Amino acid sequence: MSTGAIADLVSVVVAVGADDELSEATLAAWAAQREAGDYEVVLAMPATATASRDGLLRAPPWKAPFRIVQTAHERSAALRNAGVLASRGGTVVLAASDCRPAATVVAAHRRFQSLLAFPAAGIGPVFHAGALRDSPFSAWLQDGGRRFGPSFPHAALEWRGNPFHAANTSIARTVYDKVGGFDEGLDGDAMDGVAFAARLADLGVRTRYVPRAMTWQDRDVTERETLRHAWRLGGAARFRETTGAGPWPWNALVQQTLERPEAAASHGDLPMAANAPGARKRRHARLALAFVRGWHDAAFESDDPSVSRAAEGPRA
Amino acid sequence: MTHGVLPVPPQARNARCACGSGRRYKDCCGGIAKGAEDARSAEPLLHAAGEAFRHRRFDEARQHLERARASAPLPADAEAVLGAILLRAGDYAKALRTLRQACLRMAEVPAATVVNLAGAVAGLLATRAPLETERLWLDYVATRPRASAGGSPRHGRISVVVPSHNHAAFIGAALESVLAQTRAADEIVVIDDGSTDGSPDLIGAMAARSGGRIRFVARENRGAATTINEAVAATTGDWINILNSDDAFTADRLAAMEAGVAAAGASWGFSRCTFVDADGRAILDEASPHAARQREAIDRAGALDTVGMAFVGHNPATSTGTLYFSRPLFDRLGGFRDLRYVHDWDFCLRACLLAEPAFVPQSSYLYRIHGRNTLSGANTAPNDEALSLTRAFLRTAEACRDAENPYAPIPAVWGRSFALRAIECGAAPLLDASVVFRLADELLDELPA
Repeated sequence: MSTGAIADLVSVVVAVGADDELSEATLAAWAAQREAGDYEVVLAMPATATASRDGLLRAPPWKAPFRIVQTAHERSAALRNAGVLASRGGTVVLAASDCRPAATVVAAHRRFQSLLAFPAAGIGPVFHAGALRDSPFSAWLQDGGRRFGPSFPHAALEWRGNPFHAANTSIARTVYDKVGGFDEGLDGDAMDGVAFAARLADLGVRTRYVPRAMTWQDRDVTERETLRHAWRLGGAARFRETTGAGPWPWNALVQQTLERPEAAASHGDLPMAANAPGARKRRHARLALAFVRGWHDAAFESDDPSVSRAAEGPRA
Repeated sequence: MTHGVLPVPPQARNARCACGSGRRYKDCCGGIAKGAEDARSAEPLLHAAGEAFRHRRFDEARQHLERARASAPLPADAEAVLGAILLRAGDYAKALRTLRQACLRMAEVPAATVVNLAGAVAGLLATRAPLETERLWLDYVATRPRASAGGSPRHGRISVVVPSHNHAAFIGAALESVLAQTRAADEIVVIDDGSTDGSPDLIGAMAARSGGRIRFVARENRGAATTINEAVAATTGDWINILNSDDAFTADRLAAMEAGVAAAGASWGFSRCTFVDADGRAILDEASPHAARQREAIDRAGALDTVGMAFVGHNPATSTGTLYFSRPLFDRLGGFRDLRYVHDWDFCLRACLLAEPAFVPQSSYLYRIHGRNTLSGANTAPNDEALSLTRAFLRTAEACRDAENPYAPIPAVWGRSFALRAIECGAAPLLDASVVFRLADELLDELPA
């Protein structure tokens, strides 16, 4: 246990990026956790996000379990680390700002962590809420496990290996300290989570599915946003290669010439709704292309590129 | 061959077709390109779909099937294939509709189609069923017994029973581990079950040196369950812990179980175990797929809705030796049933209906994996017995309306969450098809048109 950590306290660490949404419904749901025991919610946000912070401070109903931590950096890794370092609990629940928790999330993570003899990460599901699941893109992204690793509706059936995400996951604070936190040098949103998961696995920490820790993502995820994410992930993957010998899971993908995924991405001219299987194939190819471009671009660029370049067709 | 009326499908798709062609059902009337007369125009598409499906080109197969369906109703088999593809793509609502429709048109629904339908049911229930039982689950969390802090007073007398059978290499260490407990056993009863490897002599010598702490009987072989029952009947304690003759306790085993089960107000429970090899060294996940699978099953006790629910589909208790139960509970259950491989799991499932178990996360039992384990080898009998037990329990659970345990793992308590967890735990092939059909119909009523 790290110095000062309170064994029975669960700390929910919500990383709130400068542009992230943090709805009243989400805050209310974190405030209304049932049978949760002692818990706190640490909202980690960049110092620049004064509007969000001021808005939160003015909302007394949400004041009780909440604390706000500000960082000089905007990257998710820095926000998560700052949140965890400011937290006091023996169990840490890493949560995404756009995930609205069911009333059972803290209780489920607490119970799971209390019944472990060996350290493990407890992965809770993130479902798309209501009508958002009707969007073919959302269903493809979430149900196929392309956003969070496992396919949540079937996570218990299809659990393989040690999938990890930082949107709804509990670990012991001691494990976080042993892993050394998230790598703040890694850009690309999820890549710091990928690197964190790799270090967890190196320590022999298993991941397990905790189905009662249900959360709901109310926000629709656009294809454009996903492509941007894949582009940044590709760049982060390139950076990650400088930190170890590999082989890396993306080696085969990035060793292709750019022409191949680009050809696949532009394949087919039917509208998506009229050609669902083909649309899925094209989406997959476009994500792969964005990742490969991110990987290549990272070799000679450091600035954040425009989204459109990754989302558009082949460059000249 | 084309038929005006589809013959009744046989049980297995590899069986001879009932139409009399002499061919296998799957290559004849059960082939996805075969079907009713009105599907003739779609036959090339169905053939192409079948070819694509066989080569795992699922998107292509789906396109062919959807185009074929646009011109004529699909044969039931083809519709089931389309449902399976939709399921694989994560389109659970469409998969459910398609598979249920296929089932309604089949005289006898193949087991694989029922399993696929169960998969679609689980995909949709995952976001619904837990919310339906949220209040019950929160009550469960609030009322679960907490393990008492260390130094608690004694909670009755503890008897350790040791069934011994041909483990001469390990029985000495096993008995030493009982004698070395920090919370001493109040009595130790050993029955040798017809060993032929010299075990009785070793045990007899240890009993003679134990100053009367070990009571020992050697007799002819009668099987593990009978031996345990005889040994428990010979005890006088309030609480029983079994120790199998090839395993061992950690020194604080009895203290931990007394605090975690008896002092916590439960009438039975179990602990984690550590998998060790013949030399007592810990076995890592990488070295033993069996150990890795079992560790995952144990972790389900913490991850799933209740500890009892973790017994549906798997046995997280691993062995009779990790159990710690009250004598009255044992008597009410009538002891262990005479099953060769899964008498422990059977005991736990029956106990779950009477009382919710306590789970002690501390590992205090050393489960030895060696060349002569009962479950070792390529023998399929353990798996067959486990399947038979699970099937029987699922039927019992479905019919049970008045379990004493208010959190018993049965549908009457957990509603649709029970079926969801059973499917998630891999028990879908063992569920009664009528249960899957009923759940599917309920969901179809709930889904928007």
